[in-house]
Amino acid sequence: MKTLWIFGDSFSARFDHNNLHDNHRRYMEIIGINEIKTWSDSLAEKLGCELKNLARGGDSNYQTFQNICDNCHEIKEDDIVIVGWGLITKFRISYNNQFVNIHPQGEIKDYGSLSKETIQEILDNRLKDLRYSGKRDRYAEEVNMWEKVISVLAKNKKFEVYFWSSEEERLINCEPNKYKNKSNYLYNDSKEPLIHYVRKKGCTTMEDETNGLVSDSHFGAGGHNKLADIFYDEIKNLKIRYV
Amino acid sequence: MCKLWTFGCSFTAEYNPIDGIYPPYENNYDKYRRFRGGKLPKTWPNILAEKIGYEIMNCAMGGASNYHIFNQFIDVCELIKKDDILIFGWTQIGRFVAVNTTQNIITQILPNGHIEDNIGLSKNTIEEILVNRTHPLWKIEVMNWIKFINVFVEKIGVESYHWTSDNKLFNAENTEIFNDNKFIVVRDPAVINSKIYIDKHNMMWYLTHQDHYGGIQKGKIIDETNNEVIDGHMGEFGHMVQCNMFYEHISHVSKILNR
Repeated sequence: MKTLWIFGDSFSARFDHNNLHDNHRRYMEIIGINEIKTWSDSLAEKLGCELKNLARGGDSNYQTFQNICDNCHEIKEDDIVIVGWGLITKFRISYNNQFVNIHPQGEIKDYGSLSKETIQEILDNRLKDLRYSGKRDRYAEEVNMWEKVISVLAKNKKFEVYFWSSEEERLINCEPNKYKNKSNYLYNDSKEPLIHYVRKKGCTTMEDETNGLVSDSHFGAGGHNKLADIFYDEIKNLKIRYV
Repeated sequence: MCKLWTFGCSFTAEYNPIDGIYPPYENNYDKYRRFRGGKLPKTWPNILAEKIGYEIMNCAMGGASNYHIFNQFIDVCELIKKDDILIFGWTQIGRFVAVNTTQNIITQILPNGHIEDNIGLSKNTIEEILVNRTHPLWKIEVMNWIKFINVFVEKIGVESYHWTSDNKLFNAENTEIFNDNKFIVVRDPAVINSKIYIDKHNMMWYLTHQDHYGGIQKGKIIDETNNEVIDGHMGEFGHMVQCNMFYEHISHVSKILNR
């Protein structure tokens, strides 16, 4: 049986039902369900694949790429890999003997010998510099390099790989056509981050599904189900076969 | 003709910077060339390529961080063909990259290196990042890239070898590394079993040790030029010793070369 591999951040992750975010708990209480089936669960079923979802909420793109490197030996011929990039501004530090991913909307605080001023400066350095609009975004280029090497690996190992970007305006969908006209970008015709695009196609968020009671832009159960349909259709349409 | 691809920092790169644009100012390599009567010796990648009958493709750059070294590989990854051989010279883990917001370019930031004042990061921030990067956790990032590269090359019938000028990244003390032929590390029993040598896992220390040069220091440019050119990179004899050590390792374990 082939495997569907998922790498990315919270927009790709499954839920750890033993350690649920407050928003998810509240959402499930309101909707009256015990678990949320994510788009990756449904998509794996539709594609007839075993699911290995290694995405984790809050992960930076560095962590996502590291997870790919760490698992690439397990990816087999005919497997399907979907990589969902997150915000470029996110980065990693070492703290308390583990990598901690720093999120631009998270609390800016001291992390041991890394002061909050330093964290803020790094975040500022990683922001889009409007002076260079129209020029190559250097931090986006870093992700593009990873896409390139993963795609060549996929060609050599004969597995399929697809990339998408959830909420990042600097990757894929908002880029000039000459950079995004690659066949393995999901919905590269979109000119906005994919979560906005798929919402217009009917993917509802927890906020939509609770009439604003849960203020969270992540997908609700209905949204996940719809996204699985959308990704399934897109993958079938792309028909990328590296064999 | 098969290709020998080399990736790394100044310990792999060709002579650069060279040819000062404002004479009489001279870079170290200009001075070294003058000392040698106008001709620079071949670097170890070139000597090694000749020795194994391969075409050299040296992608290394002086001052490169490991991020840059990995990108050197990505830049050419689709050009690598069956039976090619790759050698990666990984550098100090502390080095990192940031965008120079004045010029919109990626800048390599080095511990003890010159810090440009137009990067967009303050000196204090750079120092704090450098301290954070002394944690051994950062090794994992590079070791994962190595894992990726090894999987990548296996599928196309290519061999990859890895060495480092930063012995904190990997060395023969780790049994897995010691037993893995993809890693070129100091395995000399006379050295690694010694209780005297403190730097025994440091490849650059090992390659420039006087025992390789008949008991006198002459591996580095500074040694070869009798302190006239203050530069710790390899000179003629150092490049030969490094080439010979790598050749001995690769010719012994390579399935491609022994086919």
